[in-house]
Amino acid sequence: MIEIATSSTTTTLVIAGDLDLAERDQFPEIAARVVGLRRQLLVIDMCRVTFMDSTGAAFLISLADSGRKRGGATVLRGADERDLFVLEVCGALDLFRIDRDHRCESSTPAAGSAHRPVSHPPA
Amino acid sequence: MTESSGPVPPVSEGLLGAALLDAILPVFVTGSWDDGMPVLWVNPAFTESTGISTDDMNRRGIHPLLTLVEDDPDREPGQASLRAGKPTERMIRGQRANGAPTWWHVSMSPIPDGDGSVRMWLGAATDVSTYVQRHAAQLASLEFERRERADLDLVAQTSELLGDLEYPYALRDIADLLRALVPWAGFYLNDDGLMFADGVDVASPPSGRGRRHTRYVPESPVLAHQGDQLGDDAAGVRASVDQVQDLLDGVVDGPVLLELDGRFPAHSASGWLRRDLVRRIVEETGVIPRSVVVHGVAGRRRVLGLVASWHGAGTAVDGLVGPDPDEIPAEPQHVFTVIEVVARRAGTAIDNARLYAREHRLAEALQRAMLPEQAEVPGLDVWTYYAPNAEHAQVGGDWYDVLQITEGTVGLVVGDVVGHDVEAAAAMGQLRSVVRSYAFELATPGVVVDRVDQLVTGMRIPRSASMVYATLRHEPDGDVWAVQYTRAGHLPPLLLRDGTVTQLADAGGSLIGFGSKPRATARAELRRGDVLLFYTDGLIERRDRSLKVGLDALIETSARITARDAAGVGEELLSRLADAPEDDVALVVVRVPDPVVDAEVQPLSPRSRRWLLPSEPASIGRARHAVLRTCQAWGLPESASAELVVSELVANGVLHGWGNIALRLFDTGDGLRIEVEDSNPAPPVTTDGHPNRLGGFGMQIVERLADWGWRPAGSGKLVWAKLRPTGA
Repeated sequence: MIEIATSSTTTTLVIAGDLDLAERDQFPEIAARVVGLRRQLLVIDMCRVTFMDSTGAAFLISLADSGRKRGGATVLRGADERDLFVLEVCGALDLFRIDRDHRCESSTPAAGSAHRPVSHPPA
Repeated sequence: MTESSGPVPPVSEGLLGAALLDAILPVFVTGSWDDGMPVLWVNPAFTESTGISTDDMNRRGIHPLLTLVEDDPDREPGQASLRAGKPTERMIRGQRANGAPTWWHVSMSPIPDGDGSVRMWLGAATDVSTYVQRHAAQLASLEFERRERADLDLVAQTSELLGDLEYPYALRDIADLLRALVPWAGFYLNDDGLMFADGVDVASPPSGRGRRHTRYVPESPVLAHQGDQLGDDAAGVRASVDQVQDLLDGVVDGPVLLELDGRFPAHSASGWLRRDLVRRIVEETGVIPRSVVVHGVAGRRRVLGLVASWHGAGTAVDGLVGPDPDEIPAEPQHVFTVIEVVARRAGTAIDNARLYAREHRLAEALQRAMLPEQAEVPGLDVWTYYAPNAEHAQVGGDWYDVLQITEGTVGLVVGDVVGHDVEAAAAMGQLRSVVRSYAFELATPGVVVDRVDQLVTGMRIPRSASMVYATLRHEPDGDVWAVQYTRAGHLPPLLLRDGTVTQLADAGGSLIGFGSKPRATARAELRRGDVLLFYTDGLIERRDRSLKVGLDALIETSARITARDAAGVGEELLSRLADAPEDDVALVVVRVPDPVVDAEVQPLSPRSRRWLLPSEPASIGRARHAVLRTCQAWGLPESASAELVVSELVANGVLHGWGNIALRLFDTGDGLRIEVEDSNPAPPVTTDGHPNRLGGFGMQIVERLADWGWRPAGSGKLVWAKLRPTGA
């Protein structure tokens, strides 16, 4: 599930659940809405993302890329090591400002996912 | 009576002279080379053959004989012999008195003088025209045969190339073969407009439709020089005649001659083809072509493309005029025939690919519509498996469904329609829809199947079928699932509890559609750690034993199962019972997890698991779920990486694969091995080769986390990945 919230300067995207091929159908519409809001800052909240693969990463990258083309910035918060690893393999880490200090409010994972495994991507 | 003949008297010189005079062989005597070889004497045969007497000859100036014959390349060496006074002979071409061209074999013999110098020559000319003509005819027929063999060989090679249209350069290679006959040849296909083609995309073959040809043709200096811009005004444009479009439309059979110095509307078939051809031929040969011959590549119902062949007429780019500046060489008959045959075969092959792709899409769509459904049920560990018998393609009559009917209620169907053909699959599709509908509407299994009986009788479904339908209702007190079931001519489900196996053999009835009395409903209970087993007869049926013996074997095997996850139970059953099934197999394993016991003991169950997943995005999540649970069951630490690798591999299978996706997991002892199999034989690619497009990073992620590879498997391929141990 993906929610969009907005203030005068910032669009915040709160993503919950899995970010993979099964969710791809909703990506274009959300991207269009985010672009339409024309805020300088895009915050992507990943606290409740249970899983992201290269398809999900491609979605985040397209958001960050269209923001950058308009001179905006994209902040990624709550992404775990494995999500960052996927973005790194996609060569896209420098598109994002990574908020490493963010502490997710609720550590309750989204409904439907049993647990969130600790990631061990190789160095 | 006869007198023996005496010694032959010597021939007198006078007699020799008379013989030369009367000879039928044209003979002549000339002066020496230095004197210009004046003809001193010819015999009547000579005059008769050439119509020229000695006097006529001498009115022809020096070397009068040369005026009788055509120039030939051997003249120089022959004359050298004459100068040196040596005898010589050669073949020359001249004309008879009646004007007929004639080949002469002429021999010149010096008549030695007293002092050894040559002042006179005796010449004799033999008419060898017949011989030469026969020889030429032989050569020509040899050449003809050689060419026919070469043409046949070319057509055979073409057929071979067309046999494998998957090869991406099939058409380019055929065009290369044709270039043995003509200086340049190339294929064009019409798929929403003409395009040059090196091969055929068998996944999406050309449609043969499209009357506006707008594909981008790169700029070329030659075209610019000719003032050919896309925005060309209509002046001088031959708008009315578009022969190439006529060929594509099937209005003319072709071939047509396309004059490349003509002007055509920019997006007409002739105009586009002209631009593309001029650019290509100039680039590849350095000659600006004047015209090409265009053959249609016809499929069964429409023309799918073109073969263009250039026969060499044109102007070199540097302005030099080619060998035949004004002549457009006609296509020789044999070239015409070969190109026509090749074009027709290519058309048939491409058409077949097109039809096959359409059938394939249709079958895939229908198959997807008939895929079993497996709801993820909270609180239950469900594993399902369906393997159509390899001999019976992807469709069969067995099916299962796991339906979440309400919160806490699950409907479970396993059924088997008689037969393995498309009709059986269609009957299965109808039947399952009927069962699904009533399952969501009515609660009690006996009532559901009663209604199914009624409807099936009315629908006249052409095949009989057996089925078990069960509902599982969660009762929160004591974490127990209440089972209700009914059987319509189907083998009993099994209940596994602590090493004992119970057959749920009550509530039996006749096959679907044959119920004469109301269906019964029986009850059972599923506790923590219990396993419920639904199966079709393919799991136990063997030609060499009765069904009863097979059932006993299943019960015995089930009693020995040690796995503590549904997939493990299924794996143990399949590996012991159905590694070479003779029939379709459908299997549903439902297990109620037991949080206490499951964590305790590491079972001795084999460390391999398999799943068969429909090709749909939801399968990716199920596959991740499966790998997580398996890593837990096996105590493997690299579950996070495994989840990522499985997700990418299965996503690839869903996006690019064909048919169902088989996922297999193995604990190799030094890491998890993941195998993903689908029916598309095309290998996976690490990136999709579009630097500006996102995506294509999936295999790079796999590469970072695992060693991977692929191999052909069955009709498709198997991609494997072995996770590198954490921290390595």
